[in-house]
Amino acid sequence: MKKNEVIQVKDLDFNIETSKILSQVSLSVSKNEFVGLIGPNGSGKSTILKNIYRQYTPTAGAIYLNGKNVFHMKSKEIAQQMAVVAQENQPDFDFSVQEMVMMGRYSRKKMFEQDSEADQEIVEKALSMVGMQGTEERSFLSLSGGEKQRIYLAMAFAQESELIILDEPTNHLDIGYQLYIMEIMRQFKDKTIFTSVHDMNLAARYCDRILLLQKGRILANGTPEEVLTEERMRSVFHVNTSIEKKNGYLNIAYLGWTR
Amino acid sequence: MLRHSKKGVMTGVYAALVVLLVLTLVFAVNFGSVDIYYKDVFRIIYGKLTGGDLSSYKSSQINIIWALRLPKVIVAACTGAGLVLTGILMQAITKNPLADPYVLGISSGASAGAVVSLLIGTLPVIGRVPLAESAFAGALLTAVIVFIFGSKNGKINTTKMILVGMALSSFFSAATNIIIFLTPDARRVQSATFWLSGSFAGTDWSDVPLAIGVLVLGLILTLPLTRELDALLVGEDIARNTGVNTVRVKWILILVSTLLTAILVSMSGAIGFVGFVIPHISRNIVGAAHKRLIWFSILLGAIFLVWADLFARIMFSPQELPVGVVTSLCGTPAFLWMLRKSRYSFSK
Repeated sequence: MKKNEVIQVKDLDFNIETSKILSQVSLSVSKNEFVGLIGPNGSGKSTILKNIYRQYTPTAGAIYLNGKNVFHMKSKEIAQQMAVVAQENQPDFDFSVQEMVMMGRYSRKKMFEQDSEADQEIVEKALSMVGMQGTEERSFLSLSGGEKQRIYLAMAFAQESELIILDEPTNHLDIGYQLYIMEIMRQFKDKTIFTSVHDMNLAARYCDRILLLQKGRILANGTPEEVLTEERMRSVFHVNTSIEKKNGYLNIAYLGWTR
Repeated sequence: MLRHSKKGVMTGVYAALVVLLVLTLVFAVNFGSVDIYYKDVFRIIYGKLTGGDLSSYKSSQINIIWALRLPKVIVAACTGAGLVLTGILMQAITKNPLADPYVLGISSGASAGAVVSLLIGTLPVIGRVPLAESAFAGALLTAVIVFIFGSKNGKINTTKMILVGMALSSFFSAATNIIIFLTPDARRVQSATFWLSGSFAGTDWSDVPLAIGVLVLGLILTLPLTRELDALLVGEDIARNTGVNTVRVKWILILVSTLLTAILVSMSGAIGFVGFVIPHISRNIVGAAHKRLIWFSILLGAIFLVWADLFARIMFSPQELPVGVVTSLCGTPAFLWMLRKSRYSFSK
């Protein structure tokens, strides 16, 4: 195994009842990479990520985090190395923004250990990273959807893990927030990002590498230019496109649905 | 109100609540159909505890204070605190504001066990069925069924557990009703109904160690888990992703809740509303973070239940009401008022 592989997924199978959702998925994400997972609805993007962050238990195969099998790791040990921002979660009970972000410090705390000055500074820094400084005392439930998602992002930053997994975190957000969140993630050159992406242009613009999924298998793996081709857009997504380079990034124009 | 107050302020608040609790206990011991001076209450309790000279008091006075009223108010306080603690835990595990200590059906099993003892009395093989033990057996049986059906591969499925609890609740209520309907003796039926509504009428010193013990055990096991409880209240996925061992924590919390509910309900019946409403009122005052919530709300729960029991004893004195009737009668309006008045919201 290469030394700088943060995540390594080996021959992952995942079944729900008898239907195969993932078959023989192998992939790896290296240190400081920004990797995007794309694919049609139901192709298994979120399922791969949920297997990695242990919401699902693989039917077969293994998942390694910095060389260690996640199923032999302690919960806190995993959280110190991997933070997760998933689809917007709506709690029924209200906490303050400060309390929410402080929850990100859990894996660094011992039982009964109090929140320290240092934790406080980390929380403040995490909030300013997402442009939410000064909202510490506000009630979480009073925030808008986009603001809530930024607080979850701040929570992940407060975790101070090297790897951040984003499981469709921008799904319900408008394009401004989608770009904003991707910009924030892009700024951290020392973080490793593994994210599912819906919008091809976002994927092309921000990802170092793209994994294209189809029906639970990895169909292509490479740079945006290698993976995003007009031919694949047609065969995988059934969309006619015109793809050209603009201002240094691929630009994908959708020309309509095709059979 | 106290959501963002400093630590020192909270210490003051806890101290004030403890003082209020002690005053409540003394008042509740003193108040009753036989009037006794406060200083005598203190002297008799002090004398009993230190083995001092009590020859200047009538034995009936000593008896009322020490043997009758004191154990009742102590158990009432512990039950109030314990039910509130369980309510908090169940609301965190299920992430559901509607959860209460009885959401897993434990109390219905206890009730069925209690009516077996109160109305049937003797069973073949076992012989005479003692009340508390029978209620506890019913609670335990329910818990075991809930655990078997509500977990898979050692992992708790909260939704499934609640569904099983609801189903069992309905089953045991039916069983309880059958026994009640088939009992011809109206007086025994009345005493059973009284017990089912929750009451400390039958409480004596023998219940005190168990009530205190189970409350202390519950606190010892849950106080180290306040961060975990906070995270669970936001969501199980959030808890897992921030590093909480959700499988283990949920088992600890479920077992503690079950044990507390089973023991408290077998002592005094299913007292409604306390474990559901006091956590909500407390969150409205101190916020949802459990580090503050637990202490604040169990003290509030203890005070509330002692007062409720006092009202149950004096409202139609000498006739005593079941305390569960009082808690629901005063709890509901207070709760509705809070819902209207405050910005506290159950969702959104």
